[in-house]
Amino acid sequence: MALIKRILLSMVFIFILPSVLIADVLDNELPNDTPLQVKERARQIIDLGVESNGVVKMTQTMLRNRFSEQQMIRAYEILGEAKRNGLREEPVMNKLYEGIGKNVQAQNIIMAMEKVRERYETASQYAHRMTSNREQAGILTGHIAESLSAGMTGSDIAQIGQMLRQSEAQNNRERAALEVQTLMTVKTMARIGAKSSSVVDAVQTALMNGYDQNKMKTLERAFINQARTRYNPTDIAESFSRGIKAGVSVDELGRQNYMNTGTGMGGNGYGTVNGIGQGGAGGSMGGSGSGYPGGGMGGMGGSGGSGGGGAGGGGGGRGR
Amino acid sequence: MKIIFGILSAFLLFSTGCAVRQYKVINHELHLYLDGKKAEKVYLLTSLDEFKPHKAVKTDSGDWEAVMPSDMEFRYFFLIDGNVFIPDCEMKEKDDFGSEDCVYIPLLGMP
Repeated sequence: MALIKRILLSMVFIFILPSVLIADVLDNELPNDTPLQVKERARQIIDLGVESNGVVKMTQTMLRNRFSEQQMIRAYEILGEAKRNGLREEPVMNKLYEGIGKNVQAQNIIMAMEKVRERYETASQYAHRMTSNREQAGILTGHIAESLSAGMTGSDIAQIGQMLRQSEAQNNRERAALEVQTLMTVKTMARIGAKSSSVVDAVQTALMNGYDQNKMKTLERAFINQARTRYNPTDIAESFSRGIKAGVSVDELGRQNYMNTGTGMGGNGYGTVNGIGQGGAGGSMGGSGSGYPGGGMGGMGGSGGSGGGGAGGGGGGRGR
Repeated sequence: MKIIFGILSAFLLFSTGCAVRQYKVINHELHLYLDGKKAEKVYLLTSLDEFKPHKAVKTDSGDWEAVMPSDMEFRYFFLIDGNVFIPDCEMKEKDDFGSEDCVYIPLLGMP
């Protein structure tokens, strides 16, 4: 009999007490006139495992900013969906606070929260294709989602994932480190403004040339160094790709005047307003480039490529 | 879309007269300086603390200074006299509201 009592008491503690405590938190922290439906939905996402203080704060913020009952319920649904799919809820919650900070209308904030949830879900799918390790997938999801925010396309991320699966990493630890660093490099390049296709090209070339985690980190720093010299980020990514293919070391890529070399930029040709355009000067490893046909203002010459001799980009076309 | 954003940014820059002048890392603190002599109130909002507004202080030189920890990555933007201002920073991300945020990365010292 005593044993049954003990079991029943334990069940009360395990199943009923948490709900009572949640009810207490919500009742104590939220204003009395909070709609019942809102409290109920808030309780449900706490039950799902979303931290109660965060839910209370979020609810208080929405009430203070005059979100409608419907909008608040939709916000909880988005959060609940993220939680059910094993995604972190902070990025979704943070979007709410960011929107309020920017004085964005409630409806648009809800839409942005949904976009964040969708982005993290997409990112999570890509991450799980890269690794079967749950913890690693969680880390990769964050980097992928932020890369998407910075302008990377889903198909380019998928391409990088495929390359990483084929990488020459010796063991799981090395592979995991390479995955993380590769995505960090991608994220940095995209955040600085390089075009998605150019980023993927540079990183893929690096992976094909056996870059490990350390070299990938150096590549990231090299990119930042070059970006600070005010070169166009997409040009930098493309020149890195050419450079790696041509056998330039990763340290060399970060060198101060690397972008002035032929491998760096080739020569940009240019056209003059009233005459025939002039080809750009080739660098030490620049190949021949092709010029665009001259338009009304004189065409822009093409960039010199890598490999081959020292000829620069082709000249611009005849001007008007 | 990019053109509209560019025009809006240029308009904001022109109307507020603000630009990020420089940044410094001093004793694990990131000091961001904004050139906005015409501005009356400047706030920095970051992803570190749910975008709470941090009041920037006007320095003797007339710049605005805001201080954040330098050892954590965060996204940020400014509010200048109630208007959102995204400075010309090196790293950016889309903000899902049709604009962007600046991104600070500690180890790389990016403003």
